[in-house]
Order: sequence, then structure tokens, then C-alpha cells
Amino acid sequence: MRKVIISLFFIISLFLFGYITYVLGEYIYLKIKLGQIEKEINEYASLPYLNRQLDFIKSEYERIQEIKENTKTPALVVSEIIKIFKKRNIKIISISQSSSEESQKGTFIIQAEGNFRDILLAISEAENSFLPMNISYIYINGSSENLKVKMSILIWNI
Amino acid sequence: MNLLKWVTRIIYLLLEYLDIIEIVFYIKHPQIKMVIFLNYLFGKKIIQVSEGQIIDPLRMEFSLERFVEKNEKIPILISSLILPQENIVNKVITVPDIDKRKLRNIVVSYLEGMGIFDINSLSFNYKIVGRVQQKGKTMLKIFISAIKQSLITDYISIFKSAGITLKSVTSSTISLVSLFKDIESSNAVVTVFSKGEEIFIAVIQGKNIIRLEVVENIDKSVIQRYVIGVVTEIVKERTIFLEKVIFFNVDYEIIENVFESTNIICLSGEPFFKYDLSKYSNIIDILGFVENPKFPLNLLPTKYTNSINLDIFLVKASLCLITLSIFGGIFMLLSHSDIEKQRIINENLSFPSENAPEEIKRYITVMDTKKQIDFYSEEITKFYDKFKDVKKSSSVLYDIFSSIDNKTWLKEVKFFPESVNIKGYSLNSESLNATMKNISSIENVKKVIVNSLTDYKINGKDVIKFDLEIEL
Repeated sequence: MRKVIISLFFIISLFLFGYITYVLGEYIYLKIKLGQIEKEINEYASLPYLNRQLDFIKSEYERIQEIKENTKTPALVVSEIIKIFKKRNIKIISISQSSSEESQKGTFIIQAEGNFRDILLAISEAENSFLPMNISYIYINGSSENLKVKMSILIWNI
Repeated sequence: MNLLKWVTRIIYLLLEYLDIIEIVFYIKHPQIKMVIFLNYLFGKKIIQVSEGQIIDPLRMEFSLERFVEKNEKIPILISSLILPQENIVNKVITVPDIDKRKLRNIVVSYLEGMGIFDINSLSFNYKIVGRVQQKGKTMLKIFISAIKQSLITDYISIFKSAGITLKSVTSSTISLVSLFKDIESSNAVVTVFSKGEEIFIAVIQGKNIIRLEVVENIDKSVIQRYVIGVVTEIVKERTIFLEKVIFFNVDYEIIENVFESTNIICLSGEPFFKYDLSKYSNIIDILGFVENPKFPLNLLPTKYTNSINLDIFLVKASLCLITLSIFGGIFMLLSHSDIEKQRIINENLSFPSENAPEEIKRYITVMDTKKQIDFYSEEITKFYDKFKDVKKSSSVLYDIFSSIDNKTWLKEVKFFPESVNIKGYSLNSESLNATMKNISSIENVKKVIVNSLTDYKINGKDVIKFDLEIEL
């Protein structure tokens, strides 16, 4: 009988200890977790600040989504490049897809004509517009006022 | 009422298993004594001393039950039992300093050699109580305690029938040594203790027990002769320095005679005694045990002792767990509102609710906003990362064109990812040199190689025609 009482006493105390440890453990975990949130709230000082940050970052995200939407096929990318060139009065002489077997798929060759300044600005704008492309080759010749340019562009998937 | 009784019993069970309350029985037919001690942080306190008679030695269970019933102020659940010298064989033997694992064989041989017991019917225990130097060799002093197994078994069942668990059965002899304070000395001290019909003679050096003799208290002259004999032997052995002889409860005449015969300091032991001897003379054996409960050799069978020790361990472990739980519980009570708040916040974070308090709604809004910010930030970073390694030809071209001197002009430019080939004209070599120097200083340019330089005429004017390879 005494052994039973002692064993029961031990089991009960073990469960009690386990329960208290569990509750306190959970409390400490939540305290740490929520303490971090509290700290972050304090760091940002106010919810309006977070909302402004969210608006800003969301608009940036939407802009990126738009870029992605407008460049989801190689044809659309080429179209974007043409838009940039046209905007600067650069004459597009030809656009062709590379037929060489050695060339990678999605490689386009664009031949254009315009003045030096416009061509350079157009290339720069195309490269800074986050279009999924690499310029793998540029050939320029002629005079500043009438420059001929031949570009090889590799278009990749975003 | 029953519940209260049970709770009380459980509390006493804890106190007794944790040695806070210690109950010791001493049984020497026809006497039975019981002492209850309270062990507290700074010492021990006797809280009950009871004495009685064994009415019927053949029905010990009955006698013990009656005694306990009569004197039970608190529930007696676990106790120690001290048996007198007459039931137990106690010896101090000297053996060479050997491996402790081999000691048991020596003890068994010794007990067999005594020829009075069948070793299989004995319950015995032993302990190293001292080390001495004899002829340059270290010798061990082993204290052996042995009792008939049947006697132990009888006592276990007698106590069990009275509802008491025995946690130890020991001899009264050795514990007596523990009663004397200020006796510890680097030199040897002989203590002579007279108790009823027996005289205990113990030779102690520091914490070591060098020798232990128990003789019958028959006659003054016999005692005197025996003590003188022991003292003379020690002096003659010359292995230890004998400092003094202390007598307890011994006739003063004997003390004087021993001094005259041996010329060793002989003192009355009362000043060295830890307890008031006049008050506690009847429970001297029990006092000795309580003073040093770990020393006396437990004669209970190992299997039985292990079971009791397990119970004691479980009770102690339970108490530790409960103590920790109580502290935890108090902390929980004090932090109850905080814990509850954290729990609600967490629940609402997992399953948002319209009825959540304002503070929690704020948490949820913040968490939600942060989640969205994190998501958009991650997507944006992923997008820009794709363009991280894209080389911008326009900036390279811009740098090259900016490096062209005003007396130099280009006719043809071929741009490759790793190099740029430029062809053109210069009016003079200084202008060409300046152009090449400027190109070389561009950050991304590794080196400029001249493919060709030729003199050329344009509209009858001398110019330099060049072909340069710019490595990126």
C-alpha cells in the first residue's frame, strides 16, 4: 500500500511539474515572440508608418508585376525595345530572329539608324528598364548624325 | 475526518522518508526504547523518548504493536533499529592494504574462521574504519558487523506487522564513538565506556577506529586489568602515539590505578560528551546512532535495502518536483493576467477574431502588415536579383566615348561582352595617346591592345588610322 502511495505521489508530482513546466515554457515562448513584435512596433513608432511603407513597397511590387506582364514573351520584349527606339526617333531597319544553330534560342538581331546621342540613350534606357535581355553584341559605324547600329539581344525568361 | 488522517499520514510519511523526522528503536530484551528526533538545518532535537517492556518475548509483534500504540504521538512509518552487542558480532580486524574488491573475501574468510557461524546464514557488513602503519606497511582496519539472517528476517516481519518499515538495522557499539566531541586528535586516544553489563574500549586516532573491544562488566579489577593490558599493548607496538585515556561512567579508582600503572594521561570523559549524560544515559546507544547515522553498518539484506532506498529516492524526487512546481505555480499566479493576455494574443494571431480587444487588434494589424511588407520585399528582391549580374553595355560604351580626345574620332565600334573593338582616326599621335590613356583608366577596362596603327590621308590631310582592342 505504501509503495502504491509513494509511486502515485511521484507520478502526480511528475505530472504537476510537467504541466507547470509546459505552461511556463509556453508563456516564456510567447513572451519572447510577442516581445519581438512589441519591439518592432516601438521601432516603427506607429502603424501609419508601417502602412506608408506597405503602400510604397506595394506600388513597387505592382510596377514589377507590370514589367513582368509586359515582357512575358520574347515578342513583347522586342516590342518594348522598339518602343524605346521609336520614342527617340531611331529608325528600325530590321529585326530578325537568329537563324544560326549555334546561337541560343531567343536571340534577336536588331538593325537601326539614328544619331549617336539618341542611339546611346536608347540602349541605356533599354538596359535600365529591367527588360529580361542581355546585349551580347553591338556594332556601330557611320557618322555621329547618321549612325548605323546592329545589336544582338538575348532574351531570357523572367 | 478520514481525509485529514490520510493527509496527516502522507505529511509524516514525507517527513520520515526525508529524514526530517527520524525514529529509532532500541530493543534489548526485555527493554524496548524509542527515540524520535527532529533533524533541522542547524542540528538535531530529541522530540520524544519512550521506554517500555516486552511483555511476551514469544509474541514480539504483539509487544511492539502495544508499545507503538501506547507511545504513538505521530504516525510511525519508517524507522531504524539498533540491536545490542549480544545479538551482533562486531570486530575490528587488521588487514594489508589490498584492492577493496577483494576485501569481501577476506571478511568472509575471517567470519568462517571464527567457526561459530555458517556463513550462508549470516547477514554481515563491513567498512574500512582506519589505516595504520605497521613496519613500514599500510594496514587497513576493517570493522565487521555480523548477525544471524533469521534474526533480521524476524525483525523485518515484526516491524512490518506493526506497520513500520525498517530502513536500517545496526549494532549499538560503533555509534558510541560518535558521541564524543573534541576527541579528534592526530594522536591515539583510548575511550573506555561503561554501559550496563558491558565495557566498550575503543582506540581512536583522528577519525580512524584502531581497535574496538567489548568486555563484560564483571569486576573492577577485571576492567582495570583489561584497560591496562590494551594501553600497554599499544605503547609496546609503537605504531601509534597514545595521547590519553578517557573514561566514561567508570569508577574513579580504576582511572587512578590505570594512570599509576601506565603513566598515560587518564581523564574523566564527561566534559568531552556532547549530550548531558545524566539526562540521556538510558538512550546512549540511540544518541550515538543519530549523531552519526551514516556510519553504523546496515545489516539489512541488500535486496530489501535497495527497495527501501528506491522508495526514499522517489519521495525525495517527488518533493523536489513539488517544490519546483510550487515556485512555478506561485510565479504562474503572480503572472496569471500576463499569461492569459499572451495566450489570447497568440490565439488571435492564429485565428483572428472580430471581438478581440483593441490592443490585440493592433498586434494583428501590425503582424499582417509586416507579413505583407515581407512578402512584397521578398518578391522585389527576387526580381532585382535577376538583373544583378547583367553587364550594362551602355555604361561601358558611354565611358569609352567620353574618353575619346577631340582630335580623334571613331569610325566603327564592335561591342562584345568581354571586349570592345574600336576603329577610327586621330589627327596626331598626342591625341591618340590621350585617347588610349583615358580608355585605360576606365574602371572596367583591363587592358588596351593596339591591333594596328597606320598613317592615312583623308582629304589630303595626314591622320593616324587605328584599330584598338579593349579588354573588359
